[in-house]
Amino acid sequence: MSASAPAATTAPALRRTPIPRVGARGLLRTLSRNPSFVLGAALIALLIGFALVGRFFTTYNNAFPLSGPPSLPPSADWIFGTDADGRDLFAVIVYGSLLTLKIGVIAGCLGLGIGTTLAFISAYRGGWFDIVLRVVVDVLITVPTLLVLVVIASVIHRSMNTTIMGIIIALLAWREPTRQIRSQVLVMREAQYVKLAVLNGASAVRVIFLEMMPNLLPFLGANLVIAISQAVLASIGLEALGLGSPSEPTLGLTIYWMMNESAFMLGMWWWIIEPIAVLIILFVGFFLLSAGLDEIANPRLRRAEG
Amino acid sequence: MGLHVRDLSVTYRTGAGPVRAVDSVSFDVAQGERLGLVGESGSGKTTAALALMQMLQPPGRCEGGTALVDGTDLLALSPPQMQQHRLRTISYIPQGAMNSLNPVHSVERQMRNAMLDHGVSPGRREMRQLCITGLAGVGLGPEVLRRYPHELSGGMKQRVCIAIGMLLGPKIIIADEPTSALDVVSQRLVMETLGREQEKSNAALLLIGHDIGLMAQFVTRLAVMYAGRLVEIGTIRQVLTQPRHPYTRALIGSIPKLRQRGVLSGIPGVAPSLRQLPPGCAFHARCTVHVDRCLVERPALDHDPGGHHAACHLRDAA
Amino acid sequence: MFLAVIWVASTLNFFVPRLAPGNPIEDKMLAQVEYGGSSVDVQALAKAYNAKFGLDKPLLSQYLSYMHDILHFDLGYSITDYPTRVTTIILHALPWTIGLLATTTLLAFLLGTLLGALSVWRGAPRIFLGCVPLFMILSAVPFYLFGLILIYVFATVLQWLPLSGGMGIRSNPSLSLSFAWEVLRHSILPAASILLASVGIWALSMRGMMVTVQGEDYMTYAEALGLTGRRRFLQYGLRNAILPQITLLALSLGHILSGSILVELVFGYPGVGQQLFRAIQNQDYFVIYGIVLVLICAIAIAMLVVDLVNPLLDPRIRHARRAN
Repeated sequence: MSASAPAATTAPALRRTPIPRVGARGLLRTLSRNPSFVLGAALIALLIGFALVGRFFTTYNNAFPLSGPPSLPPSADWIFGTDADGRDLFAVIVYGSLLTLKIGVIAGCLGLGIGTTLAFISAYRGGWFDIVLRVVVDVLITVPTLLVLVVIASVIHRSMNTTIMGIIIALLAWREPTRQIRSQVLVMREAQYVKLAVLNGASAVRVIFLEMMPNLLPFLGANLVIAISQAVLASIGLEALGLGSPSEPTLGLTIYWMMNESAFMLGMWWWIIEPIAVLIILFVGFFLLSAGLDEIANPRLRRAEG
Repeated sequence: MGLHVRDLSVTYRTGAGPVRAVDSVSFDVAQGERLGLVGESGSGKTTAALALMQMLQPPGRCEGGTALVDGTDLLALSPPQMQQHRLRTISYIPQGAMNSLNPVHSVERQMRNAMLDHGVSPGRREMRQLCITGLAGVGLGPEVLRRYPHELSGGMKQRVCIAIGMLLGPKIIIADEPTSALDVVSQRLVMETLGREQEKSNAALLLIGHDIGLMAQFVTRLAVMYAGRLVEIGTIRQVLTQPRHPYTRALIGSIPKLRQRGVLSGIPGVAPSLRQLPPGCAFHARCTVHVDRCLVERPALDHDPGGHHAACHLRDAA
Repeated sequence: MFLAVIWVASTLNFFVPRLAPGNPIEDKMLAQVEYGGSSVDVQALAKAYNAKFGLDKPLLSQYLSYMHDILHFDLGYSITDYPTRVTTIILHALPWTIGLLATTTLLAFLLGTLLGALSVWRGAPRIFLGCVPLFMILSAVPFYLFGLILIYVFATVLQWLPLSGGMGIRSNPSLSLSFAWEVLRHSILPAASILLASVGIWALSMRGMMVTVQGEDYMTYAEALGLTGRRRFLQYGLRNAILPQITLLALSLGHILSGSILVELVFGYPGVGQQLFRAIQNQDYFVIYGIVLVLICAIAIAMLVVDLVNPLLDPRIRHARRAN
């Protein structure tokens, strides 16, 4: 038996959850050291703010053809100009952003909800359910989202609207979150504090919601943001192909019209730049936001102090 | 000849203020001699070793001291110079060789890389022969050359690291807890191998660890560190049979003896946080015989004619 | 795994239209007949279709005939371009798509990986670190948005490069140098949009891998051995970090393909994406399904290839597979 230098004799008190309870001030401090999060949140807030406020300056109908003289560059009367069909582009951008975000949120939340549920059942209970789910997810993940959406959307095109599109995208959106959350739960299941709770007789529900969930929140947050972003991406792709909702002025549809009505040849730069700019702000904002949340969820990524 | 370290200091600049991980540590290791360096986790022993190799990562910085080998101060070398001296002059045998070898390279390739980067490239066949000889020295056959790290056991990997460490005949060897991750049988094998190689090449060996029992069987001299400071140094016999520092005494006292029965004794209290070191002696809070002087004045290593130095105001208090 | 994906894809193609309200395929064919054109031929098509997939046939036999056709590479006929076979349409468009996609993806992967690795390496010039925000922005934006921007800048405003198409309007495909030059000119913008957008993604993920690898014991040991910085970067760092990166490549293929379809759309590039768009516009269902199936197969094949490359690079996988 070898002799070692003695360690301290008092054992640290067992903690219930590994994340120390931080107050509001602590949270603010963590966030302020996180430029990605702040910047991303600012961009998204800017966009949403713009759309919500903009609604007071125009009406929904203006986003449809013949609201004004066609092909007008931006001016005092028409701040964003009009497109070749006479749509007021300001209204289009305002309502389009809201619609696009709506699709993203529906699909993202649904997808994450389904994914979380499946992941928890699979990782916590294990057994045949887990094996089957894992194989299914692995196979489904290799199938590219857009292609499946094309197949589905081409068939129900006539009855497509933004809500239905959100639901359809959700059907595919759960794949990646399921996989990610499942592996996280698998790791957490082996953590000391979870085993301790189980030994203390905590029911599965209690363990999941009181022990695991709080620690998962930043991770779930990051996944939600990513899911929404991916859903928006998919929806715009579909719409640009012409498979989107024909009766609602989403951003993707605007791009579709822009491409198919020779905006480039006619030099209508405002028609080109506006939807693109909004989308870039949206995507970059979501990206930064998810990177920021990732940093919170994974302290190893946090910037070194000092 | 040998390694002469004077006033080595390492500071970590953390967000909460500077932390002195190694504080004016001085020692000598003569050529052919084995010096053991013991201390608890966080005492600064590994940090000191890394400092000697100029391998400290920011926010750690070496803030002073010299490390002389044959007239060359290792700490004053430029990065390209240091790169050349590593393995040639001073070589490092890592702790827990589990993950120290590149997983995608064969053993032979890793040995060859070490030689190539130090300008030793006599030709493929000669290099292979050198590798085989090197492996033989640690008791491994030539078939190991083709193997990948994941195909070797922990003991074998550690011996490969020793072989690589000896390839260029270094003057100084630093072995950082080379056997902590091994089972007892492999431990013995590795230590014997290390000892043999060191004697053959007459290198100076600095063995870092926390296992005093292992030290007792292996080293000629022993140094004890606490809270980044060197508190006692002497021959192994001197330190173990007549410890002059209360910490050393407590350490030795906590080793259970085979025929002794009774309650295991540890050292009460916890090692101080390096950020908030008390003034005076770092150990006084846990010391059973401290006096008022210990709270204010930091003890320095004395100059004992017998070579057994201790940093304590009450050096010879029983 | 490969087979499972293909099977799932084809089954999907089979069932989805049948689950839709009404019967879109038949509706389309009827509409086509009325539309005029070669009505006689389309009637023949409708007849052949009914023989195999008529509503009176039990679902199982429909499914079996469908699978039988697929296995014989018979993807049916185009409804709007009857009697052109779907496979013909696809084969004409495929080389364009694969050429564009393969070269740009490979280039973006290599460039992005290298830049990403350099941006974390401590010995590298600081300028690489400064690229990181650029990578983040580039990676967030989808390919075709880039395409639109690039078109606007280079084709409309600066008029340096052509607006769309794969070749000049008046040129005919030939093996001449001038034709090759035409192709190149037309490919620059689409290639650039895919390249620019992907580089960021690869760079960022490589950064993550390199950070992990840099923390590994073997990196510290390599430094302790006095190995040169270049060797440590290339053979110890990059070499180990690239293993998960390649797996990432396999997983991202679907995403890259979807993106490039839209790029083709934006640029009017005569590849598979363009054909898909036309088919959607014309409600040419067989072409749609055929293209989707072929693309999914392509991805599955590519993933298989990557799966075969992995053991070549990682001895641990090599030995694990051999042991099985």
